[in-house]
Amino acid sequence: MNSQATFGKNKGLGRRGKLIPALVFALILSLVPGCAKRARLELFAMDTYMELTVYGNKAEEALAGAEYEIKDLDGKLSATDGSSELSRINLSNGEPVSVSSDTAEVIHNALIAAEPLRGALQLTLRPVSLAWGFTTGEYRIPAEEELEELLKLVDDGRIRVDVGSNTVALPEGMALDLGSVAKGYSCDIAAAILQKYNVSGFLLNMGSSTIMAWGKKPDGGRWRIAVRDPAGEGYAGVIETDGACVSTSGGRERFFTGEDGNTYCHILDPETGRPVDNGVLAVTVVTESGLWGDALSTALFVMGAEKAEELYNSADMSPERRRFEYLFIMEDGSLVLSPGMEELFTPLGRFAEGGAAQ
Amino acid sequence: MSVKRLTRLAVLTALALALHVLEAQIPPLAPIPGIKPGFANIVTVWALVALGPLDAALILIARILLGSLFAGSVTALIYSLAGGTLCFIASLALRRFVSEKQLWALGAVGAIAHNAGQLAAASLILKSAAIWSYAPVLTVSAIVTGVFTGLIAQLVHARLKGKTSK
Amino acid sequence: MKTRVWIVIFAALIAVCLPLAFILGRLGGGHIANIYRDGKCICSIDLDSVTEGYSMTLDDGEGHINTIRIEPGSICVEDANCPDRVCVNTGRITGGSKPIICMPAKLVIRLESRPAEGFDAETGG
Repeated sequence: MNSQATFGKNKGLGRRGKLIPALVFALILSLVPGCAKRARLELFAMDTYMELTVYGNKAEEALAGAEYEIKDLDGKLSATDGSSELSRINLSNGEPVSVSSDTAEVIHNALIAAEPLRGALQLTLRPVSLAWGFTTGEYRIPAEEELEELLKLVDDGRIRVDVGSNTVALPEGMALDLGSVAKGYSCDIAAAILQKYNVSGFLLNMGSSTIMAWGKKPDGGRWRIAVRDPAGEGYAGVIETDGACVSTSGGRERFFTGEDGNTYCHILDPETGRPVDNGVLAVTVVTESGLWGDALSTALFVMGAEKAEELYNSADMSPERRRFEYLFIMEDGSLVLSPGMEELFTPLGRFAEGGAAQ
Repeated sequence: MSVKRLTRLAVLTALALALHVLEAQIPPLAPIPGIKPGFANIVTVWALVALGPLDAALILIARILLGSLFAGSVTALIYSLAGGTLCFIASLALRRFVSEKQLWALGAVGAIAHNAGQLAAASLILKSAAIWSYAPVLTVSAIVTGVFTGLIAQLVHARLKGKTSK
Repeated sequence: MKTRVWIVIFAALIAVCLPLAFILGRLGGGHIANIYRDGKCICSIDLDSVTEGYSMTLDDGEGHINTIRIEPGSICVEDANCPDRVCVNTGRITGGSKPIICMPAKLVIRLESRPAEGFDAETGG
């Protein structure tokens, strides 16, 4: 009798005691399903800080795969790491070097991308860039004769790439720098991996100069990529897209002030071997491919707005994947947009006042 | 520091971290930044009452530092630190005024202070006072979620009482 | 402290904050004027960053001309050549959910909150 009563009492207490934790657990569980899984990663690679966000059921695995590839490419394509495949090419003294298919492909594809760009993108600019100190930070202004000598080493036409046997040959004295296209190429590779995992959407921010948005945002809206105002603190505007690569080249991120008081930006004009000084503060391009976007933004920065328009209207752009839209932010505060960019871009701040009034 | 204490701190930090990460997986409850359950505060409230302020602070700091490594960026760390610090100070100050059956109130006060700290950090970082217009809605949500997490801490405390030795 | 005291404190806080949150929510919380033509945002102006008032003229290319006046924290249509001039009569908006609408010009001006965190990423080079 006594034991029965105790048993009953215990049972009663147990029920009440378990009810609240059960409710709590149910509440937590009810919040979890129905949300697209999200995986996020921040990493330092290719001399920049990357933020990768992936949505989808296999987001974690997909992201791990992409991370591995990016780190692998970083190791192969670094111009500063003496043991990278790129360094082996640069130190080859003209001998053909056998490399991984990645390295051969990125050089091959960059050369193809550069074909319509009228020489404005040269992978072989490294000797000149070294002379200015942009790779080391020991800036100086090379003499005119020195630049003239070094410019003889700038000629992408002399790079020999064989994607069948994965060999690259570079004449003695010449040197490659893939900094202008490596992030875009990595973006393309990472995107291919993520898509293989059937993720629902992703945003690859390869250090703000190259950003790729793809697929669906969990809230169903369009991806909104803000374009920084290169001359100020705020934004020049925002690009809204259902999925694209947004690549920006500007002179304000890395530059130095010479002894003569002039400022010199890190993007060099392959024609003169001197930093670009054409009234352009920054160029943002919207493309489908990361490599093409990176190649374009650099080349358009060198070319300037007028030649960009010519290129935009030329037949060279016929393959579908080479389509692009551009946005120039000029030193005088004006914006130059391609017709399609006007659909994508909404100016903000000081640029909203007159520019968009039409 | 005794091995026992060190182990307990580590386990509790791991627990707080797990709750923190779990919370990050939950989609936003409302389109306003800052409205979230704050599960990790369960551990802070309990530790404060059961183990004392020093241990609670150690767990909190470790959780914030590790948590921003997992889930966020540098700005996330600043927000987290601002919120966590103010939450802790408020909870500590009010600890004397709440009984063991009122830990839910401690949770709510902590949550309100947490939001106040984050708003202060946000208004400094964004250089805009307009962000304070979120304060009322965040306060309401903090009371709801804070009572909820505080209540959990209270139940846990009631269950573990006498089973934890200092 | 008594449990009742705590309940009263929190109830009072909620009683104060809930209506306040509702009112502030209606204000939109932000001061970004978005100007839409035919449903597409043609221009965004952060009214908080405006230090000096100015005007701008919007021409839709079909003969509709609206002159917009932007002041720190507010926006209005100061002149328009549309027949009903509803947009001008709407007056100055500083907040709330009431937009300025000009039907003939297919123009909508709305104050919305689009804080910087609304961006998915930032590009710059």
